[in-house]
Amino acid sequence: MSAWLRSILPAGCLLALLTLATTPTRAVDPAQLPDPQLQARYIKLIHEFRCVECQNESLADSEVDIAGELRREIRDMLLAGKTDAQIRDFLVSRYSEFILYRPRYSARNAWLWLLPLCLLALGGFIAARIVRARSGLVASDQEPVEDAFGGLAPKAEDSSSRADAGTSR
Amino acid sequence: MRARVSITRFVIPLVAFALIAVVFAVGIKHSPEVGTIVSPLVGKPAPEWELPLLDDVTRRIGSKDFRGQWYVLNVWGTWCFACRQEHNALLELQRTSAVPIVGIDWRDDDAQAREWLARLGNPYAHVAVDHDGHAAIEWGVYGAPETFLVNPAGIVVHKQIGPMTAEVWRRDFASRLPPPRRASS
Repeated sequence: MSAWLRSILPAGCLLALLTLATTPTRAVDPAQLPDPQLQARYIKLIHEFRCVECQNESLADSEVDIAGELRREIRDMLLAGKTDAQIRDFLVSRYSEFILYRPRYSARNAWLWLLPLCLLALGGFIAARIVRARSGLVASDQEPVEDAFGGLAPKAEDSSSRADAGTSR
Repeated sequence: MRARVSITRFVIPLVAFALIAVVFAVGIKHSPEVGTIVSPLVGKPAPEWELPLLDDVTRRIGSKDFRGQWYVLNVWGTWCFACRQEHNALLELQRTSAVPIVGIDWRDDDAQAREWLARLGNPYAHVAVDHDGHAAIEWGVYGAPETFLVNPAGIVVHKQIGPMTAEVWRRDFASRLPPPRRASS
């Protein structure tokens, strides 16, 4: 029994910690919308936006006045029947894309998204070339062994290709 | 052969380094101060606003009262330390510039605001009150003081974040205004 308890204790502690870690979000914003669906959209939205004053917190986490006012603004827009996209557009039109935690894909920042892919492709290309060059070296190292087993004198073109392989080392 | 090795070993990394350095230099040079949100309203029509006046809350003032004229919109509050810092600069502007300064008293107590203006002097042509901060959000305000310059077509021409000074006025506001003689007409 005590062994079982000991085995379950760390998981229990972790669970308790996780529960504690998630509770403050609710404490900051007790607002409750009448419709559970609206409430769910509201909770999702306030996690998407950056607090404009304390910029490392989301609107959901921040206790400063302006965050509370922005949350109220979002609630009013939800109650007025605005879509999530309209609410995002409004806030971006006032506070720029900086307010979005997840930046939008656009022509201006496309290179940010595409650069890693390009670098990956470049790295792959370089790696492939290195591998090919090395496998070429191994083949040329083995050639003389085969020659020795075959007991044949190296042909003229063989020796020239081996010489090339040597220089590219 | 040695030349090829030095190209791959030194020239390519050097060129890559130089490229990255240029990208970072341009980025640092053009990025605003940390924490500053560049207003997307600049170059766009000012938001429609209408608010009660501090002197007489039964009367309202708004964007339509300023159609066809330049105006400066200053967002302030008695709770705002930097607003006290810029107050003398605003008083000086009221004396020297023909452009009216419209104040939005943001998230403030009316009695305290009236007392503040009586004690320190009133640089504003009109003071409107924004108790719940809705108008401030429409203007994309995130800290006081913030000052906007709006042209006769109702377009936001410039936004200053932080205190107004004589130098900021000369550099960023006066330079965008028409010559004084026409501004006063």
